[in-house]
Amino acid sequence: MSFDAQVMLYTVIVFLLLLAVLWRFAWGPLMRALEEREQRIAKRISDAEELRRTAEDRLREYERRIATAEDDAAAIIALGKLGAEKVREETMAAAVADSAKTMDRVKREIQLTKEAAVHDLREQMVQLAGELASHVIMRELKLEDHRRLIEEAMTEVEKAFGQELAKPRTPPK
Amino acid sequence: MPEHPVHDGAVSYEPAVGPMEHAADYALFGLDAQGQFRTKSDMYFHGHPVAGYAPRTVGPFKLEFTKHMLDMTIIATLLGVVLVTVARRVLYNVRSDRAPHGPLANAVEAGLVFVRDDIVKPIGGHHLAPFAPLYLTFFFFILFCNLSGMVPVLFKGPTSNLAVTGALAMTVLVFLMFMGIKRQGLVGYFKNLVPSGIPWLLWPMIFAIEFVGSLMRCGVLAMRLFANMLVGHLVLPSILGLAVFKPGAAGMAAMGLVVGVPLALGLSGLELLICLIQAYVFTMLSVIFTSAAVHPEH
Repeated sequence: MSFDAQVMLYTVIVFLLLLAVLWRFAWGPLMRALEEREQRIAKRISDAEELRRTAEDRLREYERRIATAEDDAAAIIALGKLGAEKVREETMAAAVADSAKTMDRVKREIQLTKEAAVHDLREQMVQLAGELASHVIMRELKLEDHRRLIEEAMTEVEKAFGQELAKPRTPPK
Repeated sequence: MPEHPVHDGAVSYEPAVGPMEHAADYALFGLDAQGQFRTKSDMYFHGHPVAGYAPRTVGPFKLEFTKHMLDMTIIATLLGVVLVTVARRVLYNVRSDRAPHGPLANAVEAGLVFVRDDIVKPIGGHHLAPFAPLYLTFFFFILFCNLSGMVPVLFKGPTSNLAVTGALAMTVLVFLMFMGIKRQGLVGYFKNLVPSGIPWLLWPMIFAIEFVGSLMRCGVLAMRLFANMLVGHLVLPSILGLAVFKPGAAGMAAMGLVVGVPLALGLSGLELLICLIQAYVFTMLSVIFTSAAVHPEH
């Protein structure tokens, strides 16, 4: 076993040469590469995180929009129902009022017709009674007697027919 | 030449080579004392220096190119080519926004992140973080020098040579002192070797102890790696020797096969682990020592 000084010197030279070459062409580029990869990965992760957050925000917004749309739709439907109800009620009320008005008019016309008929009947009766009296009794009466007789007959006729005429009738449907 | 036992090349042949000799470095080619170029076959005969050969020396340096020098050259070249290729590919993949792939690239990245984030940054802090490439090179170079020792015929494992580990530890020492002096100034660095609050009478003694201690730490760093690797080279041949020595005794050979081969297999597995652990330990301790020189308060 001998200690060779030239081996020592040679080792130092070889090591320093290797160090220079590796530092310049291997470790430097490798460390740069690792650093770049590290940064790239970190950036990817932060990008992904940001993307996730954006997507979440967007999802929440869409959910909110859908909820709003549902509410809107419900409101519109409710409004529509309400309107329809109102229209129905109005139509109903109008129809009822209309039919009531028609009924009144019909009643009034019936009344008028009845009154006209009674009046006509009375006139004819007066005339008939007069003719009848003049034909049957054949005598002249004083005007007052005449008048009184007619009135009496009239009252009796009214008594007899009045009830008949005053009877309530069911109005035509 | 006392350090080179001379043998008679023609007849001297001793088959039993000592374990230390087995693990030792040897020259591949070089200049002899007369300045003539010699190859391995001129210098050695069956593992021993031939008669009359002596290398030419310049100061302490022998003009020889040894097996360990060749091995570390090959390892450094391969490491350089492979790591530079991997780095270029990884950078290209990252730049072109492709997912990382390939077991080699992943292994290199894992090693890089391990040394940088688990050794240099936690221990060295922000002062040593820019010098992570230095420790990465230590780690990978030592790791593959260690592992090359596991290849039976092709390599001899340069880190089982104290000169190699000593050179690496000396690199650490020089860097450590450079960083300490750069950070605290020349005076500050040597003043801070001694903890504050020491009585002035004791100061020179403590200073000497601390200074020698800082040198010794690096010496121990070299010795630890060297010893661990050398032991691997000594133990494996010894165990396998059970099977191959004593060719005359068939029973012994059979027992050697039965006992030696499985044991050697298990020890090789252990040795692989030790290669990794020692590379890690060397790197971690050099970070710790440098960090202590940079942060005297700790």
